[in-house]
Amino acid sequence: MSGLDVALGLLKIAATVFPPLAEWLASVIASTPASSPHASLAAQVREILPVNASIHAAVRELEKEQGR
Amino acid sequence: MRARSALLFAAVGIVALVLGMLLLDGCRVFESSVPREAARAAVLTTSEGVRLASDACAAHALATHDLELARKCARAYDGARLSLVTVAAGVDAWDTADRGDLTCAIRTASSELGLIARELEAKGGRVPPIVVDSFRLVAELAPCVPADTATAYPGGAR
Repeated sequence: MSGLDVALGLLKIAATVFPPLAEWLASVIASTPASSPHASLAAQVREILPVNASIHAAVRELEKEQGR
Repeated sequence: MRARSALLFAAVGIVALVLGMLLLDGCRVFESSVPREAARAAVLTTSEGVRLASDACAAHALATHDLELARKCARAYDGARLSLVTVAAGVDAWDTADRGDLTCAIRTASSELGLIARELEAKGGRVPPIVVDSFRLVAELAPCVPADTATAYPGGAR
């Protein structure tokens, strides 16, 4: 069960018991940083720029082709 | 009379010293006012620029069987990647990061991107527009940057 599932469960219970509490919970959840890898900019950059990129593959292919 | 001259010299000296310090520290003065979202945007745009430029370089090097071009782009890619990951980690820890180091790192990444663009263009390849956008964005973030990027890749200058 993910954090989102727990949050949604809490919201459902709160909405039935006390609607203003549901609103407050929703605002708290909205202001909490997501736990996905994109929460970190460094992780996002690593995803955009992998260690082994197409340029490294091109170097390997050309080295093989030219026997170097 | 001699005392007045000495006083005048001292005053001129102090003013020159203050102006010199401001000039040398101009970048840092600006850095302190850079909002986090601007730094984040510059990092993401530069990262995308490096990715697209290196992909274009790889395609062009393979098409023209140019190993030296591929090697130069790969070296620049590695340098830019390292710098961008450093800056990104700094943006993640914005409150405690040394913003002077961040500017140096983004400047390095921008220079490496300029290198890829220059090499690619010199060999007849097409430089993606995001590369120029990235130079301009980084120049807005840190005014000391254009001098490096503009010489590395003339298309980066406005």
